[in-house]
Amino acid sequence: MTLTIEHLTKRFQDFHAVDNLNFVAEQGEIFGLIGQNGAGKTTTFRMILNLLAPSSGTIKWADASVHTLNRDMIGYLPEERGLYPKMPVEDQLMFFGRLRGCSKAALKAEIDDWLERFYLSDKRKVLTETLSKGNQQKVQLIASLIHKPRLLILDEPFSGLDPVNAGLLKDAIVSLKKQGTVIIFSSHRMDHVEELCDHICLLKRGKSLFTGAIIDLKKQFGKINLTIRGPFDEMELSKIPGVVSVAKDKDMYRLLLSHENDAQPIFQMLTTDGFIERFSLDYLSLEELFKRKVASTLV
Amino acid sequence: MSKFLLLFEQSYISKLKTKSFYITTLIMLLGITAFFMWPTISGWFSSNEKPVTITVADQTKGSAISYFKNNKKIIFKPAKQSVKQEEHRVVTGKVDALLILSLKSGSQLDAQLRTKKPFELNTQQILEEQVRSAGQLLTIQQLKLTADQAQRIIDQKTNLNQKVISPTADKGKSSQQKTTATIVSYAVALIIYLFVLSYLSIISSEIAAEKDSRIMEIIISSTSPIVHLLSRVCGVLALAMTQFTVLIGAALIMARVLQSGKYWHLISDLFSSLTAGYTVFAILFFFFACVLYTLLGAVLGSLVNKVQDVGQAVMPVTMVLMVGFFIAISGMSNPDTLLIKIFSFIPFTASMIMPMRIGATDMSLWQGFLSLVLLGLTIVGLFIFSLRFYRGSVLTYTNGSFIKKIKQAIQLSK
Repeated sequence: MTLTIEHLTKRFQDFHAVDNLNFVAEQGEIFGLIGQNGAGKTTTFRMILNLLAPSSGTIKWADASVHTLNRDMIGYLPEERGLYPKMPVEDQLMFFGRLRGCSKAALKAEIDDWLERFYLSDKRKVLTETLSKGNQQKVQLIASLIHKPRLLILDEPFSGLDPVNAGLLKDAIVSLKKQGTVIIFSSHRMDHVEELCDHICLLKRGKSLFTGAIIDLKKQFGKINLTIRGPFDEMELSKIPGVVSVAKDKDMYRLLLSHENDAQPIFQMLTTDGFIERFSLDYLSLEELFKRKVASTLV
Repeated sequence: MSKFLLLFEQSYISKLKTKSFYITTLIMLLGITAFFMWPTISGWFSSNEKPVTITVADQTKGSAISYFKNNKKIIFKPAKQSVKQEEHRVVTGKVDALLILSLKSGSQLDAQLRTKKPFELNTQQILEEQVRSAGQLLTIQQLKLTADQAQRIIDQKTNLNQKVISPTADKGKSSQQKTTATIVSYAVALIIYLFVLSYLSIISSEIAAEKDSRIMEIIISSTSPIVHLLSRVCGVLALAMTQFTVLIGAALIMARVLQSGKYWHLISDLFSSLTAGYTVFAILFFFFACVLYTLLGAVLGSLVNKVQDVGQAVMPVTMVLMVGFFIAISGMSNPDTLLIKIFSFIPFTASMIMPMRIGATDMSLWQGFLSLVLLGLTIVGLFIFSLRFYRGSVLTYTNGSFIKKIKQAIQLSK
C-alpha cells in the first residue's frame, strides 16, 4: 500500500497554498513533510484527509483515489490538542476508537496496553483537562493510532513533550512503521525528522524545494560541516581558503566549507604542527539544510 | 449510521450528565412548584402583614361610609373627631390614613386620602375600587331606587351571542375558546422563547468548542461533516425534549397532587376548550421552532473561531426571538392586528405568534398550514445551505464579518 501524490495543487483565489506537489510514501515508511509556518503542510494533510478538495492533481492510495480508502483506516493527530477537556482519558480513547469503527471489546485491551506503554494507567479515570500538556499529547497520540491505522498523519506530534516522553512517542511511531503503516509526519524539530524519516518533502510557500531521501539532500551540499578541537585562533581559521564561516562552540570550532574537497588541504594545514584532538567532517544537519533551503539563511 | 449514533449518544449523554443540566432542570422544577404552591407561599408572607386602618370622615350625611367593606388589606373605621384632629392622629401614627368623603357639585362622590406615607400598589388599587364602587352605589341611591333595583343594575350582564349566517363561512369560536387559546398560546410562546434561547447557546457553544479544540477535524476526517451536524442537532434536540418532558410530567403530577387537585381541574377545563387542531398546530410549531433554531445555532457555532465569540454570534438571533416574543405578548390584548398577521408568516417568529392566531381568531386554517409550510421550507433551505458550507466553515479560522466567513467557507467546501 502506497500513498502517491501527483501534481497536487490547492488554490484559494489567487493564493497557491500548495503548488504542484509530488511525492510517494511507501508502506512501512515515515515520510516527513517539513516547512515553515504557512508552507502548506496542514493544507496538504487536509487534502489527504478529504477535508479539502484539491484544485488539481491526485492523491492515490494503492493506485486508487485516497477517498476509496476506508476512513477508519486513517489516523490523524492535529497540530493543536483535539480532546474533550471534561471527558475522562479512558472514555476519550474509547470514543475516538469507536469513531474509527473499533468495537468496545477490542478497544478495552488496546487501551490497557497503550496506557501502560505511555505510563498513563493511573490516569485512565482522570479528566483530560487535569493532565499535563505532555500527558495530553500522549493521550492524543494514542487516540490517533489506537485503531491500528494503515495511514497515519501526525502534525507536530512532539509539541510539548519532554525528552523522555518524546522517546516513548518515537518508539510508538517506529513500532507502527514496522507493522507497515504509512506515516506522514510534520515537525519543526529537525532532529526528530532526521531520526525518524526515510524521505522528506521540503516545502516553501506551497512549493516543494526538495523531495526524496534525506541523504540525497545532504549529498547535494556534500560534507562541508567541519568540527575541530585544538589550539586554534578563530581569526586565523576564518582566513583559511575554502572556509566560509567559523563559529566557536564551547571548546570546539565549527567550520563551514565552501566545498567538500577543501577539507583535505585544511587537514594538512591544521596538522602541520602535529596532533589535534578532533577533526570531524560531516554533512550538514537537516536543520542547517532546512535553514539554507527554506529560509535561505547560512549557518 | 453507527457513527451518527455514536456522535448522537456522545452529544446527548454527555450533556445529560452535566451539572448545569441538573441545575437548570431543578431551578425550573422549583419555579413550577412555586407556581402551584403560590396560594400557600403567598399566605406565608401575607399572614404576618397587618391590614391598614383607615378612618373615614363621611361628609356625605352618613350615606357613603356604609359602602366601604373591611377586607384582608384594609379596615375602615368611622371618624369620631374633627378632620384636623383625625389628621393629627395620622401624623402621629395612630391610624394609617384618613379618607374624607364629600359630595362634589351636590351629587358626585369626592374622596380625599391623607396618609403619613404612600400605600403599597395593591392596597391603593383595592381602595380605588372601593371608592369607585361607593360612588356608583351613591348615585343609584340618589336616584331613589330600591335596594333590589340597585342590585339588578350592578349585577346586570348581557351576553352577546354571535351567529355567522353566511353558509360558506366558519361558525367561529366562542370568546371563552379564544381567551383560553390566548392564554395557552402565551405559554407556548414563553416556552419556545426560553427553550430556544438556552438550547441555541448550548449547540453553538458545543460546535464552537469542537472547532476551537480541533476535535472537529478529527471527527470529520472520520465521518462526513453532515453526519456530525445532524448528530449534534439531534443530540441537542433530544436533550431539549427530555427536559421538556420532565418539566411537563412534573407539572402534571404537581397539578394532580398539590392544592387538592385544584389546578388539575383548571388544566382539564383549559384543554377541553381547545380544539384538537389547535393542539396539533401548537406542538408542530414548537417542534419546528426547536429544529430551526438548533440548526441555526449549529451553523453559527461552526462560523466562530472561539467559544467566547458565541454570545456575539447568536445575538442577532436572540433579538429576533425577543421581537417574536414581544409581538406575541402584544397579541394577547388584540390578536387581529396587522403586525401580528405579518409576523405570523415570518418563519423565525411564526412559531410564537401563529398558534395564538389559530386559537384566538377566526382566521382560515389554510393560513396556519401556509405558515407551517413556510417554516418547514426554511428549515429545509437552511439545511441545504448548511450542507454547502458546513465542511468549509469548520475549517475556517479567519477573522472578519460573517458574510466574509460564509463566502470563504463555501469556497473551502468546493
